[in-house]
Amino acid sequence: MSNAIFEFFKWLQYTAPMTALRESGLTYPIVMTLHLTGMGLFGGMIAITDLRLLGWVMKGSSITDVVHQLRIWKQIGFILTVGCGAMLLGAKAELYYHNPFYWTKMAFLALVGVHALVFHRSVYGNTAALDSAPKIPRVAKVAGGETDFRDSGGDIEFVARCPQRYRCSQLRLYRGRRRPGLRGLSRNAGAGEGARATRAVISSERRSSCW
Amino acid sequence: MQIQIPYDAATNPLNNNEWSFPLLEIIHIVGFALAIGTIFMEDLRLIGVGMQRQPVSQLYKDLAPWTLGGFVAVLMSGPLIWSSDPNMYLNNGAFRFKMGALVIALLYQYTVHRKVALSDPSRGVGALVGIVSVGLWVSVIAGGLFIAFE
Repeated sequence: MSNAIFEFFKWLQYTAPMTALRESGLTYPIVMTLHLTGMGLFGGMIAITDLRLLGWVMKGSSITDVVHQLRIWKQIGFILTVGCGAMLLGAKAELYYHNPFYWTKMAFLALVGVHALVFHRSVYGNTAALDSAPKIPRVAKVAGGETDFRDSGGDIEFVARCPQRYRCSQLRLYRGRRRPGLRGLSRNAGAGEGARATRAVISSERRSSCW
Repeated sequence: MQIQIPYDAATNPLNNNEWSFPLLEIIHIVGFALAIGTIFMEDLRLIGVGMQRQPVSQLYKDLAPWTLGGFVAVLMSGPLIWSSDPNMYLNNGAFRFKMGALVIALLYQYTVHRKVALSDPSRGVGALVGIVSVGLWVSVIAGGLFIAFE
């Protein structure tokens, strides 16, 4: 099974559109920007919905109002995030396949889907009853709190899964612990050809890793 | 022109611990999602395509504390991330673009955007202010992402 997935990822990565995306200087970061913009939209709307379910924000508006009005924007944010995410995955599929954080992220995303299925009937599709209840029922608060937690999970994975950033964190460890010579190197900026060359390698590694 | 500040990043604890840097980035992104998400909500309302049943002023008052909370998280974690390799960031054009866009976006948020939102503007004025706001914040995001590609 995992072999089949790996073969699929390899095939996907070398399809013409994914190769073009990977090799483009501008398109890849633009897709990434859209991915993050979608995440801001999707994550922000979910956070507000959940904070309303918890009774912490927009108390002057009914739960029905907030949930219904934000639904379409959550869907747009979701499509933007997932669509761009799929393109980013396709462009560097082999790299992601070997990254455990990518699979952790997928597990969290699956949990978000399970959450929606579990609470759809009792909370998100039942907002009129929640509004008429004297107090916000516990089930709604649990639904709100849980999604916030899983959203944070998604964010964690977004940071951690990025292979370049993983390399960056490895590089930091390397710099800090195992290669004491680099301390001197960074202190003595401009200390000769060898030092400059090494610094150039570090700097090019880091440029591809930190934002 | 190369900018060099006399600072040894290797002595920074962030560069000597595997998890501190990613954890800071998580705080940065969670704060960013909260701030940008709430601002986008206000912008969609200003543009006239979302949250139509709430007055803009009410929406702004309801969401302002959460936007501020997001900014606090972002603006506290951001400088710490920057301190991990200040010379690299200072010499990166995309980072400088991001900082410029961020300053303009923050000033815009707490001057024009705030004033217009609290005054329940006409559709045209609201739409203009909302579109400029979306553009500014997307520029900040793009600047941040292009740091890795410059």
